[in-house]
This record gives sequence, C-alpha cells and structure tokens, in this order.
Amino acid sequence: VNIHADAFCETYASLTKQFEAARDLNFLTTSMITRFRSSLGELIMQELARRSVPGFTPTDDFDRRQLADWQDDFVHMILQAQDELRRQTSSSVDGDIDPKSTDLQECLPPINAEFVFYFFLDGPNCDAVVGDLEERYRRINERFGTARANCWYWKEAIRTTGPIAGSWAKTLVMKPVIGVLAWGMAKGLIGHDSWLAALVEMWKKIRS
Amino acid sequence: MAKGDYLGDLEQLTLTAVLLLGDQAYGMTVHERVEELAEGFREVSLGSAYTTLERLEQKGYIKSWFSDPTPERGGRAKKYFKVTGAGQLALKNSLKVASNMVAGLREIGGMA
Repeated sequence: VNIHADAFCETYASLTKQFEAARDLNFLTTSMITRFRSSLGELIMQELARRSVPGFTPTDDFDRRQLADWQDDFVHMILQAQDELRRQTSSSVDGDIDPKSTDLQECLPPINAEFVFYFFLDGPNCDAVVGDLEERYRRINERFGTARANCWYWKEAIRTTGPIAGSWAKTLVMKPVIGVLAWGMAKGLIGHDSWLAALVEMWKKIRS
Repeated sequence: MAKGDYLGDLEQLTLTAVLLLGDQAYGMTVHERVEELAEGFREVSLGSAYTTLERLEQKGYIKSWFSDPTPERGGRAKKYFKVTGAGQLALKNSLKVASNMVAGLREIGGMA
C-alpha cells in the first residue's frame, strides 16, 4: 500500500493521542496501554491494506475526509480492543484464558523486572532506560527465543538497577547529611562565646 | 586544568562513545559502543552508562533531549546525547595527560 508518508504519520500521531484520551475512560493499566500502543502501527497498516482493496487509491493529495473516517473507525477499534482485553482479564481471573498467551502480549519483556526501575527514576528517564532494554530484548527474542531473552532481561535489569539505585541513594542521603552538618555547625557557632573564634577553631580542625 | 575537570576512565569512554556516535547517540547505542571500547578490560552495565551520562551532564560536558515515542520501543522515547564544547575540551585534556604518560614511560623503556 503506497500511502503518503506525512498522512500516515499524521494518522498515527492523532490515533495515539485519541487512544491515550480513551485510556482515561477504562481500567487498563499503563503497561497494557503501552503494549497495545506498540502494536497500533501494525493495526493501522492492516486497516489501510484492508481498506485499499474495495477501490480506494491512495495518492499524494490525501483525502482528509477519508482520514477522518479512518480515525473514527480506529477509535472504535481501540474501544473494541479494550473490551476484548477487559474480557480476557476477567476470564483469566476465572482461569479460562492465560493473558500471556494472547497475541497482544507476545514478545514482551518480564513486567516484574521492568517495574524495579519505576522505584528509582522519574518518568521520562525511566521510559528511556526501559525502552533501551526493550529494544535489545526484542532483538534477542527474535534471534534466540523468549526464554533466553527473558533470562537476559532479568540479568540486565538487575545489573542496571545497581548503579541507578546507588545514584538515587546518594542523592537521597546527601541532603540529610548536609542538613545535619549545617545544623551542627550552626549549633556550635550559637553555643560558642565568640562565633569568630569558633569559626577559626573549626577551620583549624578541617585543615588538620 | 582545574581539579574538578579530571575525567574518570568510564567518563572518558562514555564521552568518546557519544562523540563517535554523533546523531545516533542514545542510551542503548552509547552503552553498546562503550562496551566495545572497553572490551576485555571492564564490564559496563546500562545503568552504569546512564549514571555516567547523568554525571557528565551535571558537569556540563554533554547535553540531552528526548525524542518522540517510537513503536519498536513499546511507545517509549529515546534519550539522545551530544558532547558540548566543554566536554570536547575535557576529553582533549584527558587524552593529553594520557599521551604524556605514554611518552614518559617510553623514555624509560617502560612501554614498547
């Protein structure tokens, strides 16, 4: 399907936004939303291919009304997919369906390993680190299979968490330590007969 | 060179990797390039690479920005890095110190 690139990007961006807005109306978790969104590009291509068959010929002069129709349809599709996910989730609670076996959750890194990063990093940085790991995970998964990819992901997540947690702890500990030092200095100065003499004394101690 | 301008070995490796990668310097590629550069000498995790990048950014040697989210990364953005002028200067100074060391050792026949 030879769709004009700008129009495709516009459709994708718009759909992504609408999908995020729709997220607020349901109970899906953030990780499920992210996973679904990763397959949205593929869904759009399938839909474009399907729609081009009955006679629509895409050109550079893109038909914006057609695009608007597609957007409406995709919002409908997303809502349907959400219903499907909701159904699967409730079924899996009853033991009917294993959510790990669905197409939407294929080739996904272990969610528990991913979760550890949410403790130590802010939103954008966490996304960047998890995205980097996921990018490599997919490559390993393609070449060596899911079991080895999962094993690699766990190992790398543990290795990665160490320095990040260390940096986080350092930042966390530094502030109280500085506070206590400042308090100690202030108390020493206030309790001393001459603040200037106290300063000189402290300076000598530091120098020695 | 001021005392605080000294670069550690991992910082030197990371700055070199970012410089070599140019426009393609983001977390994963920087980590891979650092691993290549340090092959056989030390192991570097992605976390170490990120904390080093953060430290270099705090020192003003690199700057960073986030790209738009991409589907192949599960809808997540990439964090790109670029070496600043101060970073290039710091790396140049570190290399100069290293080359002085090599020259000194050669003079006494310490290195082939």
